[in-house]
Amino acid sequence: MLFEHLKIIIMKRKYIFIGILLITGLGCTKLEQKLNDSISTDPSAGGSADAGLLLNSTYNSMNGLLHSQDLMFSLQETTTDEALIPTRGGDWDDNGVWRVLHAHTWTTIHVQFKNVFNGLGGLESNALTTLAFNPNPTQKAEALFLRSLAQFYYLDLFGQVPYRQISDYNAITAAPVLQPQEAIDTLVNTLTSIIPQLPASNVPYRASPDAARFLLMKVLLNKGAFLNKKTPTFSDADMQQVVTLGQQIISSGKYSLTANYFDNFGPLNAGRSKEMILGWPNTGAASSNGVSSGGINSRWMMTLHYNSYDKDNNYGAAGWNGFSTVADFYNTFDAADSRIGGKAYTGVTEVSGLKPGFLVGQQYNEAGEKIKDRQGNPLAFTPDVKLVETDPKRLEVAGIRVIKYPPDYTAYSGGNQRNQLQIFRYADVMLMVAEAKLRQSSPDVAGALIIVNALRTARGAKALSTIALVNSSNVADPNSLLAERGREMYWESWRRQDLIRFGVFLVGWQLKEADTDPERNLLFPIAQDQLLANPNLKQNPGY
Amino acid sequence: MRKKLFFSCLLLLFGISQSFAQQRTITGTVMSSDRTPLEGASIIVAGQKTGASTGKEGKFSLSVPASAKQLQISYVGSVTKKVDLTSYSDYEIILEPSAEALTDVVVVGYGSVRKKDLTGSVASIPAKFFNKGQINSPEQLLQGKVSGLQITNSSGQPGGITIVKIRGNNSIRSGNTPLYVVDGVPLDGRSPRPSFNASGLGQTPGGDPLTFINPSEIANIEVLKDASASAIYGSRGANGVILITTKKGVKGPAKLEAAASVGFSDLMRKVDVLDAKGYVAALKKFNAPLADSGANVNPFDDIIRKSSITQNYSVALSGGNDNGKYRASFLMSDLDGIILKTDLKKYVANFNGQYKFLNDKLSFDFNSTFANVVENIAPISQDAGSGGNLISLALIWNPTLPLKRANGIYNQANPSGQVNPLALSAAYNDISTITTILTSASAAYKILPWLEYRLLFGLNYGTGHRDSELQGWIKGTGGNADAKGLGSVQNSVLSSQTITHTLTAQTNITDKLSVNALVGYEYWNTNFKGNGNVVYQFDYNLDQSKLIPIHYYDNMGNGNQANLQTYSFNEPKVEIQSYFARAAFNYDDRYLLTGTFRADGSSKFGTNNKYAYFPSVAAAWNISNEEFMKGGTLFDNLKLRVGYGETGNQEFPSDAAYDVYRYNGYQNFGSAHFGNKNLKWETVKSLDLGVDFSFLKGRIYGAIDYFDKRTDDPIFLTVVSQPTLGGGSLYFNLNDAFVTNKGVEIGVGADVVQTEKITWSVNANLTFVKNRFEYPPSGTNPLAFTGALNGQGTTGAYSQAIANGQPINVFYLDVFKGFDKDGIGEYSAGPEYVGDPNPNAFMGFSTDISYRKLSLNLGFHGSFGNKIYNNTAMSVLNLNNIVGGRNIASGLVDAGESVANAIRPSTRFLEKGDYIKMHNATLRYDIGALGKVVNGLTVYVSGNNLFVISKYKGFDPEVNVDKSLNGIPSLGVDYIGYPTQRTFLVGINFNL
Repeated sequence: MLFEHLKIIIMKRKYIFIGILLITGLGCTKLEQKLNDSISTDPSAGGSADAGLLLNSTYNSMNGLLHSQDLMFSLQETTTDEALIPTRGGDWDDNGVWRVLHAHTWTTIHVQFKNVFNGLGGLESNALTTLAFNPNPTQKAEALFLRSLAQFYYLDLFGQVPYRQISDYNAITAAPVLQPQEAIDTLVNTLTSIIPQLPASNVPYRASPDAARFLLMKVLLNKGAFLNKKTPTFSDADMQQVVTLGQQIISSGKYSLTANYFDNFGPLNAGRSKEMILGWPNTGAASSNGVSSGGINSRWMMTLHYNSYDKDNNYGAAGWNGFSTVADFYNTFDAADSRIGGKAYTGVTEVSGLKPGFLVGQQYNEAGEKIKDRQGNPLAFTPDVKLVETDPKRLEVAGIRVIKYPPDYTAYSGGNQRNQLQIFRYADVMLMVAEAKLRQSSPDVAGALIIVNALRTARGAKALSTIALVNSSNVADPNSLLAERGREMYWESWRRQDLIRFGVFLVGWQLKEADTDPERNLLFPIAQDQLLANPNLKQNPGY
Repeated sequence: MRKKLFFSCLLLLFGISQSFAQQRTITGTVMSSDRTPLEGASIIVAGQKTGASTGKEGKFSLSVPASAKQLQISYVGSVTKKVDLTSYSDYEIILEPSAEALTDVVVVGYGSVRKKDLTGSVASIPAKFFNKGQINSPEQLLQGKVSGLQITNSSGQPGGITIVKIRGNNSIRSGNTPLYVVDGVPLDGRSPRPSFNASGLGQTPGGDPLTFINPSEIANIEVLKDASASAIYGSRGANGVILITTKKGVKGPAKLEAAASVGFSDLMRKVDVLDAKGYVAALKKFNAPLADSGANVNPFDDIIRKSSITQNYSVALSGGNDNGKYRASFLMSDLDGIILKTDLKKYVANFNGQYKFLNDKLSFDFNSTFANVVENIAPISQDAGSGGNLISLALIWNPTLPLKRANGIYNQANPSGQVNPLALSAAYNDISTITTILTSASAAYKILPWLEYRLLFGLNYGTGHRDSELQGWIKGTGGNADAKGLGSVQNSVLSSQTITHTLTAQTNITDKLSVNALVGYEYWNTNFKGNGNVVYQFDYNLDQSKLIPIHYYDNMGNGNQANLQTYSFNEPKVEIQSYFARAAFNYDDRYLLTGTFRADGSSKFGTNNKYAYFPSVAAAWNISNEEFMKGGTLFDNLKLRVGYGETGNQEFPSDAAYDVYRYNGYQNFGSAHFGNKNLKWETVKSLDLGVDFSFLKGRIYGAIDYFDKRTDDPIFLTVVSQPTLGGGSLYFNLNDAFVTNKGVEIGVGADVVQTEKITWSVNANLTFVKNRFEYPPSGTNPLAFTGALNGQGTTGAYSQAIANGQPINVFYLDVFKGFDKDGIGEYSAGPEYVGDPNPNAFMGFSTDISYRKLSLNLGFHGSFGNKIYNNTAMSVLNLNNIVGGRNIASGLVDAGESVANAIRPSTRFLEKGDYIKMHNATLRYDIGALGKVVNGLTVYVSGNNLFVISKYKGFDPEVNVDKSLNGIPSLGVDYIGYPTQRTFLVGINFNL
């Protein structure tokens, strides 16, 4: 019955069927996705979107990574003797992420490790994309520099460097992984080859030959630690080359020590700092490389108290009352050292009462009146601090605070603060050269001392008569090069690397016991999801 | 709204008159609700044996004793009707179709089948069974009504999102929402409402995408629960399908239905914080700085509206003849929220018509909805940080500190640094206007009596407009706009189109074997785009004492143009092209077999997986029609069903399979992410075993189903090996992972009492679901985290995990072990899997009791075995507030906790979420006809959300604040959301 029906239909109603098929056929589509506000093909095909813009994007991808208080800064500083964030009653516990960093009791699950790992991958991937789309020689050299920077941090923090060939820039498969020796070789070769390619005229916000030299110095100086973090050894040739590279930067005459230490970090540091080799321009407005402002305000808000001065409002939101330092570190400074701060700073102190540097004791407002905390206690920061503050009276005032970047009160918590972020700084070059001289197979103590004392004199501190690399039994011994690095480079995201290189990252210091595992905490763990995604990565020892 | 008996006489006028004769003759016509005469209807005189049946044209004539008071008229498939006799002798009687008859034909995808031919698990709910009272979006009509269907109002916000899940969580990313199809047009499922995040205040929750539908214009809703039913919807059917059929005109003279209701709302449940006296006592107890300002205020009561009025007015015109029917309806609705400056206003017009031509061979139908939905939104964000939102600010405002000074100026000098909630409400204006057109036209031609071709074209076009401002006089909100003022104007357009061709055959192959077959082609596309401007820093309204009535959003040019951010976006257009077929065989009404197949191509899929194929097969056995059951008296109906089907889910961002490069600003261009060219749908394989039954002459009826679903290739925002872009994650189908949902659902109804005066029926349903995520490679470690927690001291904190062998969204928390001697919390060494936010069981219960013309309808629903994370208790009402000059939860005073105890996510704030809620009670009086013109007059009082029985300490255990993290949705986290409102209505319905 059915088939007879069908036959009749096909015989008699074929025009209708043809019509149906026609309508149906017309509806067919190839299902090609139209992205509308973006493109999916070679970006350089459009003309304006060339490798230069991709390079801008690459620079931008290091912005948050290096600015934010809970990424690179946290991993390099709050794991050390320079910084801690005590849990303050209801405040700053944040699932315990801060406490475990200072106490070295972290586990594999820590959002900051994961975020930094991904942030570095983003930087590396952006650089790769730039390299994949026909950059000119300068763009190529800059992209290679940024790729090297990401690889350097991978090596430092995680001991393994995932990388891809340029042709695999958009691959989503497991990436090959460089082990330390391969990674170091790659970094040294790349950085050496781009030094002549990078324009010496580049502003400090773009990769310059000196920035490449600086990074190469860091690679060579840390090479021994990268290869063997437990017991680093340093080759004479590497140290000689660090000295050579350092001398090239020093003798170029482009840099000098800034007379007022805090001018390196203040709101007008773009013009005043003579030390910036690589930095981040916090102009706010889009400039020639399309950068965005980095949120440098976190550097003061993370440490200042709620009731500190805030030009926008006086209602208790001036700071987050978190980041502090310990007394032992504070005590490594001598009183005359300008780097300890406590002196009025024009543009800041008369506005707010704040004196940059270390904040200890009673805090005052712009009128010289005592500031109180939210409980009505005097806002007097105490050197005494605990990892978990439990005394209700001290919750808000425990811990010395550190203002490295004097706040820009023209745009305090919102808007565009003008302080440029210092990434590579000239004083570090001097200290690296001094260190290399001490690490040569025949240490040049006198040569090192000349450099260190030049620095100390410029900072108003007394000259040292002798200098050792480190006092392994007392990190807080003020008479070591490590301590000098702390005094000069504090809160600039180098401390963890320094402590490892000097072999003292696992010893005990204030509010931290000596690590029990001789290896575990020298590298951060790799997140579970990244291990699943990339079998070429291996979990670091001890986790 | 219920259509009422239409008869031509009034008892009131003539009830006392007596007939002189001993016997008299009554004549009349019996018709169906579309005025078709009914032949064979039975008429009996109540209390007597006398009776007659209707002949041709539905006419009857009957001799009755003078003492007869009432006729009882019954007809197969219709509700038995009683007619009071008056001195009139000629009656026109219209019978309403019975519930069974209404559902006799069930709409399934692209067509309909007789209910007895169903092989899949399909719930069909006619309007008379819908929830009553104040309904803001159509999902609420079904709450507690259908087994397997879990409906959760995410908050009390008028127009807030209602979450619908059918038989558990299939997906580990967003996209557990069923597909909605309105009169044959599949919807996009998103709302065009632009989102708004006022600097420092956080993101306000989204709006429900279905608010544009007038709930009282829905005739029927079908829920396709199992894959054998939903597989015809292919790659969008995995979460089940909800088919909404709107009311249509009926044959007969023009009819006007009118309805009006007014009411008010209040707060269903409070969260306990200290009052002024208790607060001062607590300050002393905890040796806190004396933040006693001497006053006695109740800040939370102050952000509650003094009078929240609800008004709904609707009219519908309908009518038709043999060649055409029409219906037009209009709704005007204004629902005040209980929080200051919140409301939902709806204006909805529907027009539809069904016309026939060429001797009924050609039919032409159209459906159009035009809706304008306006919301006033309060600053109640879902992710507020330590600054809080309106709810948290009101909860923790120092109760001894006046909110307003004597001169009417808000007190903005709270030493705790807190923003004044009343001032925030006053300074914040946020108005969303969504205009939606949903229109479809379809033409059908009967090629042969049993073969029909249909073409449907549908358009769903929604525009969202949102004006928002934060006036500059409010201080302390944080962010760029703090004390400067911020204005925002945003627009968006969500547009989708459908073209469907179907060819349907219904024929007998042999005497006993019939087939209903369908083939079809469908093309669907959708596109979302928008633009907006946000500027901060204005010249005026920076001082509360000098305000001028110009909104920033009406005057964006005054904003400092250096602080202007402008944006536009146009998401990729998604296109889906499908071929589908269905064949349903019926042998002798005993053996039923249905098979469906769909091929879906989607522009979203990666180039390596362009087309997806979804088969299903189901069979049913009508045991009650077997010979051996004949003569049995127990079962009226007994049917066994078994079905298997595969459905898909393609809810992932439309560009996920492609490399994407875009501009991120001036001179800023880069790659957003790389594409996964293998990306495809996730597949839900579903087995359903069911039994439908009714016995004791239909007095007890129901269905029991067992289901077993497995989601393969689940789509997951998966971490990609570095180096890569897009935050390191991309959408992948996780190859070794799957999700299972197994359970049993039971739905039972009983007409307990059925007498002339009293009827009582109950309906109950209960569903058990067990949900698991399996991914052996990840071992016991969590694969990903979600359930983000917010507030003071909780940066980066989360509460839930996606983990192998655990239910989706399992709580992963430190176990709280009490306080030590210093009042500091003690916890387990690390986080553990400690609870499930998915209920083990959920239920619905409703009952109808009527006594003569008075009826009472009660509706309940509940959920059992689920946990709720009380983020509000953890980081808003925490004890440490007391030293910061803020209020605390009242239960904390004697809990033995120190004010120095850290805020820490733990099981301390994981609460039992079990509850039973009475979501509606309606008391109705059917007056019936009044005079010669008014019919079906009904008055009622109704209450929504009357009470909830639960130990949960928040506003409402029925809650789900969106706390998704990195694109993974959360479940069962409560955080200072809009509290649930209780609404009381008085209403009247009548027809002309």
